[in-house]
Amino acid sequence: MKQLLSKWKQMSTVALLALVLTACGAAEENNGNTDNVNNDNNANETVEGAFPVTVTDGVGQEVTIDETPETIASLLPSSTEIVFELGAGDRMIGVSEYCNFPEETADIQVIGAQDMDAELILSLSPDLLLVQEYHYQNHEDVLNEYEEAGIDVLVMGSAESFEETYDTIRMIGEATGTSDEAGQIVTSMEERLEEIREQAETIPEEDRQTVWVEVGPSPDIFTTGQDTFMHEMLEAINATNAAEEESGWVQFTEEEIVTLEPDVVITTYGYYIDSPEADVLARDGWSEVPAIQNERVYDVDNDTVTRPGPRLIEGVETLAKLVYPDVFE
Amino acid sequence: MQNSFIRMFLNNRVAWIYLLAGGFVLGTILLALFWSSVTVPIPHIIHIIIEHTTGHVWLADVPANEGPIIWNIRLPRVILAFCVGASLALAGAAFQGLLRNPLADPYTIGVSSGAALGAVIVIFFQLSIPLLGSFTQPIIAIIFGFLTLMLVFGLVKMTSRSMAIETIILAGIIISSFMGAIVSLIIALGDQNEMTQIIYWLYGSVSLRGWSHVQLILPFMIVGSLILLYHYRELNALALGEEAAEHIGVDVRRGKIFLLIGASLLTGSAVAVSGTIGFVGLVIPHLVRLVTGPNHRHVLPLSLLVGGGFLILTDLVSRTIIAPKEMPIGVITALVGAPVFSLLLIRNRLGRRKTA
Repeated sequence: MKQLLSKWKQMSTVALLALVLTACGAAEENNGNTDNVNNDNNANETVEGAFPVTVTDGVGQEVTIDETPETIASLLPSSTEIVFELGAGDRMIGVSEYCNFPEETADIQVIGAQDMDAELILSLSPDLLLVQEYHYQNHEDVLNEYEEAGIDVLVMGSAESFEETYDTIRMIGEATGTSDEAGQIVTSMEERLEEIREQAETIPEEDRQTVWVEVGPSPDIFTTGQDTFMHEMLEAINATNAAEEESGWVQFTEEEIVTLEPDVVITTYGYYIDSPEADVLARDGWSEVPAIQNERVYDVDNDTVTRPGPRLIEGVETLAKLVYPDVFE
Repeated sequence: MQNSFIRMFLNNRVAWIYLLAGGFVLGTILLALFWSSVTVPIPHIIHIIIEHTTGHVWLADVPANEGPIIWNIRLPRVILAFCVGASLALAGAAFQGLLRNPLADPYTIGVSSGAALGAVIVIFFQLSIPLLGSFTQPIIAIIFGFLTLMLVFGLVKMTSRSMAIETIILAGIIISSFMGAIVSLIIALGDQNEMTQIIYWLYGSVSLRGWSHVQLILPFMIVGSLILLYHYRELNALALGEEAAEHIGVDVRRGKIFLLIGASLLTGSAVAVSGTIGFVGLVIPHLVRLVTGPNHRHVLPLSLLVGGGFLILTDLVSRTIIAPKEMPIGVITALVGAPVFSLLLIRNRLGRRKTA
């Protein structure tokens, strides 16, 4: 038993790592459903102030919000970023432990993370509470408790693509009475992404780079396969994801990685390890890998490539410049 | 004359111990109710509890959000902590008496690991049995705890006819390792989400459970406790050794089976609602025995009380020490439990040397 516990602890390091890296999921939403802004009464009014509004959240629940939420709390960093981007940051009265952007979040009361402080949340009584699927799956009773106490609870599904992220932004926009801003943010993100796509199309086939992404350091090297933001971003900049055969977050052995012969290595764990680039460059047996020979190992801000929020677009732009410095500058 | 005087004195001493243990439980309950990360005035707390239990309202100005804080979050949590601690400590006391081994606790015999495996399987396969709904996990955990017990018995039966103590412990450890290996396998196979859920669960916690979990553990706890408390004589007889027990007319085999079932009920339901919380079942009975002596008539009920109070206290620490974050309760029980247990062992040895 004791041995097992230590095994669990080992595994938990990986899991906690994953937890920090993804820093919570975010919403998935059906466009069609979110647009039901109480059509019967307010059909001719502007979307702003169109309360009451009914939104369908990430787990398919219909939540009716009677009036503009004056106070908002969020249990996941991506939602917090979205709320701030929507210009509703001054209404935030509670954030999760992992919310670190923008800087203003540092001054806001922390209300927990995976483990939420239910007493504290009830005593703060925000008008709107944004939670993640984890809370819904594990603590549905507690969420019902919040609702009974008059807190509107929106569950964010796990967004794994730009489209889903746009939907989440639109949903939070509707719920907070900032639909116009949400629309602008999404349009701007779409435009910037389209611009990158167009530029990337000029890259000739023979210059196409194979990129190896590392989201967990040695010895347990995790990478991102299909259905992840990193994969979508690499596709957008016309690069090849070395792990494109896989799906989701997967672990590779060093031998497998060396065989893939990546041209570029991107790490995302620079925020908790000193000089990840040097670590990669110094690895035994990697000397024949093109990325190592040409010293093309870069670390990018993890939050901009995994958090389903407005900063994803910054992530793509950073990646584009790192992988194709001649094309994007 | 002399004799009855001593007996009276002894009885008084036992009465005092019970009074102290009861006071400890009451004290921890009050402390845990009144002190937390969110401050609610004590009169409000009393008002809320009276209002919910009797329907009587005597304070008009209690803020609306304090009601659910106390009644739906804090109180069920305190009660659940008591139930889990009491169940684990009582089961530990029974296993230690039964196996005549100071290291025995719900983990040694494999019941905890079996229950844990059941719960983890539910998380991994996202099972939800229609009629059970959110109770799927606890009930599957109890069933798995039982199946594990049967497996241990089966193994013991196949290897020895006498259900020898060493064989039970050995079989328990083997089955326990096997169950643990499957849990590790499931963790390795799962995706990040499931991994997080399973690991949070394995840390052990009584937070965010609510009344539904209290309702779930209570019947098992009551039945399990009654079975064990009723069979204290068998435990006392077993202390003399099985042969001697047979000589004084105690049906050891039958008693053992009842005791094992009772203890498994307690362990299975405790693990099911709270995850894996170690050391309570190991340390508390030892502490109790230190004060009361080896008579199970007193060791069992006192372990129940002290174990419950102890877990209320550790849970209070776990939710206040780094609030609004929570420290996993299993971490605290281990941090407190391991040194205490070591001290007990050293003390035991020194004491023996003195008398020798």
